[in-house]
Amino acid sequence: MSTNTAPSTNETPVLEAVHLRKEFPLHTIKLFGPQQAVHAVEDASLALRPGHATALVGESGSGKTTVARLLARLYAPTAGSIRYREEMVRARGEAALRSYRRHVQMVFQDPFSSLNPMHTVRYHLSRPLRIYGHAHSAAEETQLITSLLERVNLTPAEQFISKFPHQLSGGQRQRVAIARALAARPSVLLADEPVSMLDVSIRLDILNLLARLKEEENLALLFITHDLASARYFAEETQVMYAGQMVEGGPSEEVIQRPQHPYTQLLLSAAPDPDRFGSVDQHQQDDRKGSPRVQTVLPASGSVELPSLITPPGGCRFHPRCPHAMPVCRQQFPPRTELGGGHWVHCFLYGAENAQSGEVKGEIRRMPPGSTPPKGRPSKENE
Amino acid sequence: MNALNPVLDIGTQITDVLHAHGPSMSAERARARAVELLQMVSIAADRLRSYPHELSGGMRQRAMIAIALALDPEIIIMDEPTTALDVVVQRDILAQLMRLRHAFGFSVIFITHDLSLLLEIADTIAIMYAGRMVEMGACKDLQRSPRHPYTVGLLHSFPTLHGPRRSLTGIPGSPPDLRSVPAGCAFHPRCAFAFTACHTIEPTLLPVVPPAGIPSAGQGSCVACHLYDAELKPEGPPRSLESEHVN
Repeated sequence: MSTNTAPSTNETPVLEAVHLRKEFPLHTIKLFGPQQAVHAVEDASLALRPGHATALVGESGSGKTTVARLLARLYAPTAGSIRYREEMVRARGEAALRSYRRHVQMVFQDPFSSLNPMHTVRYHLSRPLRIYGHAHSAAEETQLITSLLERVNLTPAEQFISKFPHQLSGGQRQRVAIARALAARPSVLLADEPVSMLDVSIRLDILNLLARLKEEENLALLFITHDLASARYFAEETQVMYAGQMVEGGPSEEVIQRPQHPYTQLLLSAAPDPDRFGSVDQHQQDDRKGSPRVQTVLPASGSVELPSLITPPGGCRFHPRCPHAMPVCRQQFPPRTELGGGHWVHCFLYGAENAQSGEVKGEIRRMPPGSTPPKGRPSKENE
Repeated sequence: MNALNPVLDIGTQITDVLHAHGPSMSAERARARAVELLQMVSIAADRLRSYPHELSGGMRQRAMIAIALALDPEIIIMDEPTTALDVVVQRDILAQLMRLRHAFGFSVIFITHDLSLLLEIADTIAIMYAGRMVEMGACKDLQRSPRHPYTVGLLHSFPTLHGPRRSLTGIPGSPPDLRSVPAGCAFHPRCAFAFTACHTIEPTLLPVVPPAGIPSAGQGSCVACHLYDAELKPEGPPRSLESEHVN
């Protein structure tokens, strides 16, 4: 399985996650049998490129935040490795972590709790400047803080510099959080749902700000969201996660307009869409080619919940909810199938090279999205 | 998500409503009604003894709907009922709600910040800003021809799943501090079309008079904006505001 997620660009990734796995042990006393654990992330690989945004989409509990925290080294991975500029990131050591975090910074979801209410904006921004040795004098520090505030559109900066978090609105706080991350002069920014706690009218402002910073500073951005529409708006590349497994990925437009994995199709069919029915564009919509709308909005089994991550379903974790589940889906996790154009999927429906039969291969590859895959396909022979 | 009492099982919480409003109801009948209500929202009867922490977020929200339905109401007010839920669960709850509404004929007041969701499910939409209603109209009408600059801004604030990937601007500025709401129209500091009257006179919610010659798309629509006041703005709203969304 290749870890290169977007062959469409030739730039080398600045940060790469290779087969990351994270288990959180449960502290239960069990005399016999194995120690139980929450299998939060199973085999996650992704690559972040400079000047590129990668969106990680999934429901809450799908492990997307855990991936971000693994990348920020807030958690140590159970297995797998993280590579920064093609160099393996050392697991331990305060100094090693500090130099790593100088390059990889994180913006948290909730600006109301990610800033210390006891400290001013100046304090929040001066900490990274001092810790990473960017400011050498008080005057230089003030000047750097002012320019940081201006970069995140908090102007006039003098007005904001001595304010406390409670004196700022949610959007302004998130701007301070972004400025704080930028203060370290990182090359990678991990944004964990940066806009979901904010007022709708200012979400776009923050997204546009992040997009601008990405261009200007050539940042590699990881954008975690549960909203496919903003992933499409903001990120060049999108990866979809389900219950700790990466199920599909590729260029955003490709993944969202032509979703291949049944889970991505389900997510898209459930997303609010003003064009869905009775709208002005009704006829247009019907004519639209390659509409990802699937007939079955909800899985036939009736379960709309994520599976337990303590005893996750074997094989593909989506199989209990999947309308197209086959026996093989229960037994093993499907390998990665390249669909061309950088689009890949982990699903046996598209596992052409596993099917051994050329006839099936052609049939599956050309299957339009949303249509029912052929039933009663020959079972896989690669076990 | 946190509306249920964590120390009582959901059966007790449903029968509680029934007892409070109908003290004459016997315990058995109340229990039978509770089972019936849970089945209405597709929760198995054996969940009656479950505590809220044993239920998933979606089930908890459905249990809340069951409690709301207990007294056969004519109106159900739902305050961001699906905001804390995932899209797939949200879709499931909405489908149930629409089915129940169809079956029992109650009205729903759905409070949300998710305009894209409202455009899909609502019949009538009212837009509020800084404590005042600024526009109200039929859903489709609002989508096709938004009138208030704030509504126009909101409609341009969420990315879509289909169509061209256009650059979106959102609304400049941030929501006002309700301790010191701007004088006149509260939206004027963020409004690109504000003129002198907006700074001093507070607009009232008035029915929209469709301009002569144009088919009355805005029947029943109300808007609180001086741009539509013939006395203050005789030449009518700027073309750019209207044409932006009529496309």
